[in-house]
Amino acid sequence: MRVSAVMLLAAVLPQMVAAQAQPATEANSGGQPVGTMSELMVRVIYPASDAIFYIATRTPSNGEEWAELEGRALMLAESGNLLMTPARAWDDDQWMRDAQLMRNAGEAAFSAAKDRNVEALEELNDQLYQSCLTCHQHYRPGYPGYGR
Amino acid sequence: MRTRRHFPLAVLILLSGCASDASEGSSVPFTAVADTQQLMASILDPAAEIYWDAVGWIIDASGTTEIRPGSLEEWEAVRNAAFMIAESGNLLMMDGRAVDEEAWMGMSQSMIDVGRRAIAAAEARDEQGVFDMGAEIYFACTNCHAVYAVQTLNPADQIN
Repeated sequence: MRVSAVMLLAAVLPQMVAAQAQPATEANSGGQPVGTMSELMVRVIYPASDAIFYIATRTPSNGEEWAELEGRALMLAESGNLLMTPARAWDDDQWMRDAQLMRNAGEAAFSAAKDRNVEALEELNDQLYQSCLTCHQHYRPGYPGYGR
Repeated sequence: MRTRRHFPLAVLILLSGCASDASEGSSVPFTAVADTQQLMASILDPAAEIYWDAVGWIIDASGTTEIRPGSLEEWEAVRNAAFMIAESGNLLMMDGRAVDEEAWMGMSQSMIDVGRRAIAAAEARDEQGVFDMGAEIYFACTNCHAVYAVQTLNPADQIN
């Protein structure tokens, strides 16, 4: 009986360890971040959010520019999903809620951009800014208000 | 002695619990904001166009005209586009977008791999490298389209 238990363990353990080493979420969660958190912020999220923040002074003037703004708003929203991937998420609680704030603001901006609604985009500035502020105060050491 | 005899089973039970925890992680609250077609039209296509248009040579009767980023800002725009191409591979793999667990994942992974090399070429301000990676990006796109969006490879077929 004792031998059987050991043999069972020997047979099953490798698979279980392998399952542990490769999270079940990896396949469907975009599990390979390409850039560091800083690069994702600087290369993707900042340019996308700037397009929303400066909508009053950089208002698209033709279809091509509106299409570009739509893309930036969508990238902002989808970056919320990228922040939630297992390799980037700092925790499963506050981090996820903060990332959802950005995704929600981005999704609203994407919708407003599709409607070419400058006023709505201006109004979304606060929501977007708050999403940045909230997360930075939770997770970015040295940021004003960090750890509140 | 009794404890020792049950040790392997106890380990099994503990590991089972751990494995269960890992699968629970799949409840990450991803929500695809755009469908795949919108993702292509609003993010991937524009980013790829920026990358493709960044470097080139026009050779005609008047000689050779070189197209290349002319400033640090323009090179950064090319690099940022490459980041979006690469991270789009991750967005394609997410629940809500992934069509299957095999070829779709492999081709999305190819997009990530090509995107990484495209970033490196842009960071090195390697004109020939960016030009060559533009071709690699194109192949990654068409390989996937050939399986999942074959109509995009020959739009004229839709008209006829």
